[in-house]
Amino acid sequence: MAPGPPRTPRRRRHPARGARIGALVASCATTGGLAYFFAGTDASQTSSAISGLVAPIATTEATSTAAPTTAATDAAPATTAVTSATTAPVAAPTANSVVAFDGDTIQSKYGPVQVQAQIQDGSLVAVAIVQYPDDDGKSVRINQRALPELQSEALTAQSAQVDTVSGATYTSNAYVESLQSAIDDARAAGAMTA
Amino acid sequence: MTTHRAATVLHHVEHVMGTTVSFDIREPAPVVGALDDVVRWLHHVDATFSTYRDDSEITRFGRGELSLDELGHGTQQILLRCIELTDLTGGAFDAFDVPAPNGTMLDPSGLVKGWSIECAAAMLQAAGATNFCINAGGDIVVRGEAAPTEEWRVGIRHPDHAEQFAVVLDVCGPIGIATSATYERGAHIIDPRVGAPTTALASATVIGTDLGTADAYATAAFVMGIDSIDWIGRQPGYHAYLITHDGTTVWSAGFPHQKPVMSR
Repeated sequence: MAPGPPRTPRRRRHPARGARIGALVASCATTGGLAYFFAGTDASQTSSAISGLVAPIATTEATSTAAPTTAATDAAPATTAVTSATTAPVAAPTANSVVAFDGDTIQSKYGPVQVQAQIQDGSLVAVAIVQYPDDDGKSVRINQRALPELQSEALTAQSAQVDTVSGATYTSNAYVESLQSAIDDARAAGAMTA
Repeated sequence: MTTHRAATVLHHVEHVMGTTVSFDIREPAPVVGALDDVVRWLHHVDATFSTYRDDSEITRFGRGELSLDELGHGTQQILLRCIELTDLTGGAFDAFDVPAPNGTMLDPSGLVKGWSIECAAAMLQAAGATNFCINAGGDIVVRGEAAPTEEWRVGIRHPDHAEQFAVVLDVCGPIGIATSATYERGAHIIDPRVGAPTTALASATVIGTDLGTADAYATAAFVMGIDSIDWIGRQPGYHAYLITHDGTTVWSAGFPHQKPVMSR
């Protein structure tokens, strides 16, 4: 949550916008709103949410355990897509093409970090790593494996296998700063409309 | 396996709260301007709750510069909910006893992220959207369906391979999905009960009715280790999928896994 470089101004605003946001923020922040959002003890909601997929939970029937399987190919639908997109070429901003903007190189405590924002049809569709700390060969591999989720999400979604991906993110400040500068450049160049 | 199917009517990625938040909205589209409002809301949450900012309410409260009654109502409610969650998790989630980037020991960021994304989902619903998915750095809310009569397919990241899935879930909304893990070298999650990093699990995913709670439970399960599967099984409305370092996977009875494809 590091404050990045100044953001470029967003698009035109509706005159009533401020008031509406205020009302929404207020409604979200009220106790009633929170009670709604925190209605986590209402089991019936989850049952309906996943009905048809699983049997209703029986709290006494606690767990199932499985040994690791070896279905490696089934588990890796997005591998090819990752490879191709991280090498996406910088292209002229025509319809459907991907335009890449390199972010600033930011010094982190582990070394320099630089990322590339890839824009398609006005939206950020992927983030590629240009530079990441490489104090030894192993860390390069580990760091590249640990690309923030946006990349795998965008790419796996394109692969038509899943709609989205859940995982933990540990976005370093350097990554965020570099990405923000790339996004700012893309907005300044008019490539980003979303 | 179906091929891809419903048209996304609105796709947006916003960098906010130290992560990337992506919106995938299927038909029907929300009213014009609704997404702008949601984005503004998330930046407001960031300004209020960021533990990276010196001027946020949460930093100033953590440093003792603000008292509880000087905080906004929403901030007070978040802090109260943190206390409830500490009770519910037997101290395995404790936002008041973890080192934060601002140097204090108060960091409710996980709960705040989940809560704010739930708010964002409610705002989009109020604006007419019924089928959408919001992904905030791997924490997800799903509403409705991906396409008529088709569930959303949610991949759970393989802890060792960023581009692979440990499992794929088919779910319909409303549901929240959160994963706690330490994939990156040097990254760690502190066990607040002992004040030291925990290495019990490779990954803990929790799904349930509220994303903020799911996020806190995922953190707690990650800290508690594999035995937490029995504890999560007793939390109404929440289910877990845990992966150990040796590749063993365990899930609670209600977890809607489509196929366990964990591999090493």
